[in-house]
Amino acid sequence: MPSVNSPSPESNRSTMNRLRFLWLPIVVSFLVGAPVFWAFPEGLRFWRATAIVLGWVGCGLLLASLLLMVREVRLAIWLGGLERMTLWHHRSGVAAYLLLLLHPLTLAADGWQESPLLAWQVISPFSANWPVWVGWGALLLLMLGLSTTFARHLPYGSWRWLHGLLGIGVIVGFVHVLLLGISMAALLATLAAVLLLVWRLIRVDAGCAAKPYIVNSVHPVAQSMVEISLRPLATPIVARAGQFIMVAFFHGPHYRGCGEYHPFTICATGPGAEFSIGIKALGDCTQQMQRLEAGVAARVQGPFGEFLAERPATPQIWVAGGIGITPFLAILRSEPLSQPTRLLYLFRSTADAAFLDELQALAERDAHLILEALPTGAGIPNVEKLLPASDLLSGKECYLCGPPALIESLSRVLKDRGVGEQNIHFESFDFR
Amino acid sequence: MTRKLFIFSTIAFWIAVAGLGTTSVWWLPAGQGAAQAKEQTISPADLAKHRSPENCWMAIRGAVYDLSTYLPEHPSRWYKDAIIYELHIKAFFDSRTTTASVTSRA
Repeated sequence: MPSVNSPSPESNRSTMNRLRFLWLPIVVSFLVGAPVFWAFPEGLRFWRATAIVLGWVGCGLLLASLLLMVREVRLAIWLGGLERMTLWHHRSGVAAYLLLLLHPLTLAADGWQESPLLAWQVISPFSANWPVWVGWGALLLLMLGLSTTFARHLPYGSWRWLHGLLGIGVIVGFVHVLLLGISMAALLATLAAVLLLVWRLIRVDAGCAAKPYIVNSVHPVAQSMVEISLRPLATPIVARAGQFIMVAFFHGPHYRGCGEYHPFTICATGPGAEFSIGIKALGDCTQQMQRLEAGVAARVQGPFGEFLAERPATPQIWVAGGIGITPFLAILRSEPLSQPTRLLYLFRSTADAAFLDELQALAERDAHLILEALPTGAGIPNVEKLLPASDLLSGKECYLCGPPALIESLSRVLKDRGVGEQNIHFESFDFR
Repeated sequence: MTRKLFIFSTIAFWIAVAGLGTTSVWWLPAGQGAAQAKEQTISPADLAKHRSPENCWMAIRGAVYDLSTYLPEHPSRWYKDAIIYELHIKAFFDSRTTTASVTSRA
């Protein structure tokens, strides 16, 4: 029996979570701080020293952004999850861009102290100077790459290739640093950037880190939605129900896959390391996946995510929008609930209500589960009417899964009704 | 939010760059010509007199430049240290030889 002072497993887990939460800022701070410390200018005028420091901070943030786009299971666990890594990848990339825009302007400010003509000559792309040309090339590539990153209407395939311009921009940027004079900091930073890009290309984009699987069966479960069962062809991934994986489908007897990796939640695990996923037609590639057949080759990366992994014993409210039902279904299929849980399942129409019959059967069997299934029509529903009142939300953990606009709306209303941010959990699957 | 930040910062950047380019075209320097180099011939012997890190002249493609103030500002420590190191080495050997050499670097 544990003594009074010994930490409980929950408190140990909580300490571990806090440590994991800190790792990401520590890694980013190191990648920014190390090159700045190494190459810190001494004895220079203020604006010139500022320009050099801005350049190095920008380089450090670019390195952090490159590291955070690597999808490795252990790295994701270490840094607090793939979703958090993606968020920080975006933040550090944009912060780097902003600082690198200021870099030439502060160099010009240094020249301005002598004359406006010199200020322009320092940064003018018309000067016969390779470092300046390459610097401008890097900045324009970053500008172009980021502008396409924010173009959400682009098809994913085109978007992915155009997003690659950012990777080229980063390498050209480090060539600019090397042209200014080879130093240990510049060499190490360039080497790190190349290694991270190659790592990403080989392990993630070329699929070397993925495991081979084959489609075992395909069942339509709703309008524009199928449930696919996958069987491993070699060493399987070790996944829990409710985690998500990145899957690319290739060719089969009559099927030609797009070969793009998309995130899907594991909605059931079976014997022989088989598992199934739900696929809803949300884009060109997932539309094509509705025609999947048994025998199609697939590659699987992961598993990632701990959305429902460490649920406390307190009463819970689960809200699912459309395909967002899959992680909740996975938990309900895998084990009976141990805490009172109210599941609010929102879908457009009865034709879109995937797994509804099965959920109703599960709710009849499990005394802890209360199921509310509501057709809401097209668009984001009025969640203020759908969510319980403040007094009924008190002391409850809220888990949300669905389209980003729905999650945002639900989170806002829950916070307005007094639910703490630490009691609201969601997974948004936004990896662009 | 991030998208708006990207758009506004990019527009502000191009306005600043265009402003700098325009200012440089219309700007008339007050003391034009005062900083221009005088046309004169510098012999290798004269050049060799300016070979310390604090007083460093260099012959580059037929022109002689005074790098004394620029040298500490060079961003590469390796490059800067290499020049200073070479200056010291040359001074050391020149003190033991009778033939002066001229530092010439492209």
